[in-house]
Amino acid sequence: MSLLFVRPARLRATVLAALAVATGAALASSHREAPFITTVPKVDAADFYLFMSYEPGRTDYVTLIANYLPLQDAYGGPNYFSLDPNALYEIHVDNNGDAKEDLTFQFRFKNTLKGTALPIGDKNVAIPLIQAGTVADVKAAALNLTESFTVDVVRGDRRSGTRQAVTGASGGTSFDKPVDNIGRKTIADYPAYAAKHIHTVTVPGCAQPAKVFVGQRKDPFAVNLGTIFDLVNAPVSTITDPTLIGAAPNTLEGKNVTTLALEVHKSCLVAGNEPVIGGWTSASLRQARLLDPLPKAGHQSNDKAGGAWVQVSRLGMPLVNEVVIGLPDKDRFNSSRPKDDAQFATYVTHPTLPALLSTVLNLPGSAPTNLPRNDLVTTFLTGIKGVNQPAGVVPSEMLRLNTSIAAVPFAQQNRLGVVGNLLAKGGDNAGFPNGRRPKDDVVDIALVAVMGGLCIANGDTDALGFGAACRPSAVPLGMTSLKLHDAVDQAVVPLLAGFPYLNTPNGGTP
Amino acid sequence: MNYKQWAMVALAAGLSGCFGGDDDDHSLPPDGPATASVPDSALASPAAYTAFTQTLVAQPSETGEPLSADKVTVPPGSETDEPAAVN
Repeated sequence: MSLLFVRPARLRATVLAALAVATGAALASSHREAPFITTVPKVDAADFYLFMSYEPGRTDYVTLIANYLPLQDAYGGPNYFSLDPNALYEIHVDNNGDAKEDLTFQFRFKNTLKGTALPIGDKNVAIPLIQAGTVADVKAAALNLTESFTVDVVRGDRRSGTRQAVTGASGGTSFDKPVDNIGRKTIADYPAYAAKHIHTVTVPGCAQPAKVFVGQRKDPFAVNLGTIFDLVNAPVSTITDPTLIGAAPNTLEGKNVTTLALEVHKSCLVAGNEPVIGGWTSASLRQARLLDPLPKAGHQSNDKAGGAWVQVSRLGMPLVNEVVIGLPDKDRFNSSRPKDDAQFATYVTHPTLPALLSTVLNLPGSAPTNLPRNDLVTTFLTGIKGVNQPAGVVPSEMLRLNTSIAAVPFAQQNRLGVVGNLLAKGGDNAGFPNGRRPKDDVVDIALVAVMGGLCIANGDTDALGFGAACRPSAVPLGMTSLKLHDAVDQAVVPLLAGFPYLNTPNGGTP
Repeated sequence: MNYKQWAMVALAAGLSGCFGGDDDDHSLPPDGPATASVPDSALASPAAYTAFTQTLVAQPSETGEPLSADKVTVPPGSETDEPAAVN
């Protein structure tokens, strides 16, 4: 169907329908953002964070957090949300800017069913629950299902590189994962219980010990899904008024995710004199799967997965597969690797989101005119020169963190990251897109960026190196582009003061 | 013969057909009719397992019975192979 021959009313409806999908996904980082991944939620990467640890005494460490299996309801028993033992979850680091992973941390999971049974008359009968009593400690006897995982570090190519096991205090390679927050009768003190599962580990080739935690957390992402899905049903006057950044409720407030968190000394991640590292997470499933029509008694025993690993989920910068990649290519993006990102370049240089927003917000002609959008190429594909761009960078989509820029204490962090710091002429260059901290309001930052805010900041002198075309005259919204927000304030989401930073999950009972 | 007697004859004929050969691909689950199994050749390697599932993809069926997976105790997997191309 050629858009040139569509009646205006029908075109508007089509655009609005497309926007309902695009912006709905847009304001949920990367929750259920691609058609195939909606069928396999356990390998759905929801968010990726990469930042210098800001906990006192840990400021030379890098925290890497990958969240999976989004939109968990706390009452999701009896099975809750264990991760998939037939999946491979990975966090990749590129430390020389060539768009290829140099280190990969691989997580593999094992769910062990004890087979707890009760004597009922003269028979022993298996119980229907994952717990048979209260839980307070690691390897609690009352747990009918225990979850554990291993971590390997691979140097070089993620498949053909050198793989070594990460080990715990006693040399063991298996680590316990806490059960999800079933409720306060089962687990009276969930924060204390979960904290017992923060493991100090030895990473081969790294001089300092690291920390690892895998477990359920409260979803740290803040967004108002209902309003966004309803064709952005919010007045323009609201979403351009800075005093109303918290006017709308966070519809993810009651949701949980499963977090894979690492804290690694920066010396373990960087290479040579290059302080900038790139990071992203991926998840893979076995290529071949047979379903057993007569599964044996056990846990997930009908799934006979084999063959090679096939990547089905990918997440670096937030919102890319949500609102940058077109619908026909979202599954392809999830299966792709940064070194091949040239195939998606047009989505960045000629983004559709500004045009869509112009239509649905009834702001005709408000999309920036500096095409190709080299400002977005810099933000998403290379990093900003002098901030987080590695030398000789190969354009590719990933989060990039400059490990030589010191962390900023939580209270002093600017919720608008580098953009906010520029506007405030402040001292916080440690935020998004220089990595990503949980407090960074990436939705507001992205709205500002796509609607031309970076070009306002770039001025007529190309002060930030986004190119001469990226100037205030190319931004129809003018200074208003710097005020855009989604009316949900990321910065008020409660977090922990230290590793793993993300908050205790919502419990099955309040 | 009445209806019941004819049914018993038909069932006996069907079951004897299942036991009639020494084809390794036939097995009899405890409580169901005869069904084919995943062949041994599919378990020889990760590539063979993948190739076998590709044959299944190429032959979707609205009426067939699923294969027994009794022989698939440890599916062949690889930590290093690259995925096979799929046409």
